[in-house]
Amino acid sequence: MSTFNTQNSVTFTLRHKYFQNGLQQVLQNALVSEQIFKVDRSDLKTIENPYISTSGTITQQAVAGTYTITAMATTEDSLAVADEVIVPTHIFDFETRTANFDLMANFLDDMMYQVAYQVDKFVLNKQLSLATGTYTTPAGGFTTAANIPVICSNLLSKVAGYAGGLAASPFLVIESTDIVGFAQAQVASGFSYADAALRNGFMTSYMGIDIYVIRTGTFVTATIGTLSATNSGRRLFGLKNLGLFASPRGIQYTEKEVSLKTGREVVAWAYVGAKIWANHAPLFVNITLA
Amino acid sequence: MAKDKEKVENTTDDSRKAKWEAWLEAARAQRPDPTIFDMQRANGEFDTIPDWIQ
Repeated sequence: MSTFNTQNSVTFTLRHKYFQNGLQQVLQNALVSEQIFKVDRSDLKTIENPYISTSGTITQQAVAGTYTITAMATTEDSLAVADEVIVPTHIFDFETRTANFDLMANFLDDMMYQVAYQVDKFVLNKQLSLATGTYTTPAGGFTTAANIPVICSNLLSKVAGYAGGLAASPFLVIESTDIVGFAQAQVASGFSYADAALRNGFMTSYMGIDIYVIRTGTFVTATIGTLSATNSGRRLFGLKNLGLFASPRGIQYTEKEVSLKTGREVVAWAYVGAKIWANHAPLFVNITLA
Repeated sequence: MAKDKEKVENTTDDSRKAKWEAWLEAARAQRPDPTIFDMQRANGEFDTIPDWIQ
């Protein structure tokens, strides 16, 4: 039978080779929240941070020697770990034994990444929701090169003038579609560039502001666990290490043998909570793209 | 914002509209400074009911 040149016979006669010794992974997004916020990994449900909410009233007067007492007050402020992120799957024994690759290892890698990304997305959206500083970009937003110096200088002015070096280490989180203007501004003003993905989204800095790039669609208007985020079309500017997120024990996982199935059930999960303390909320700017 | 999606004032589905209003109220309650949320709303950012509200 002459089937020599048909697709069918060729498939079974020619040699195949595997390109790599593991499964292909989905493209992984840069995770930036650990770079810009403090992380607490202790096993705590709540982190308290009270603050002075009513200061005493200062008066200046002609010398008289008398004064009126005014009240001061403190307010509780706390971060609660109220969300969990879980990704479960099952790997049958025959899949482990007869697959070309170690599925358990590859699947675990992928699960860890999914948990980490969801935590990152939640933290970024939560912190953006808590930011009380506001700024609306000129028309064209970050995609217009001429806007970049205008936007950056306006953002810096919102955090300048405080004692204690608060204005050190400003950061800006933009989405991948925004780098168009930055790339053009780079050409015009000698802005350095590096592969953002290899550096957790860090695209070096501009006017002293560290720029972090995340994938488009990370800031969303949607329900993320306990958070009702309204962040579509918004970006985040702030100062590093003032925001806090808590992820007790980081990412955990367990493998368990379950009844009526061969192989193992694999579950990866993480707990997460995030907070910008009340006094620092104005130092984080909720940017509206125009 | 997508123009082909259903605007709040045009919808005839009261239950969807109520769910969206409830969601917006929940979102507003979570903001430390609801004035930003109100500004977003005044700018028409929430005039379209998203697909995931069913």
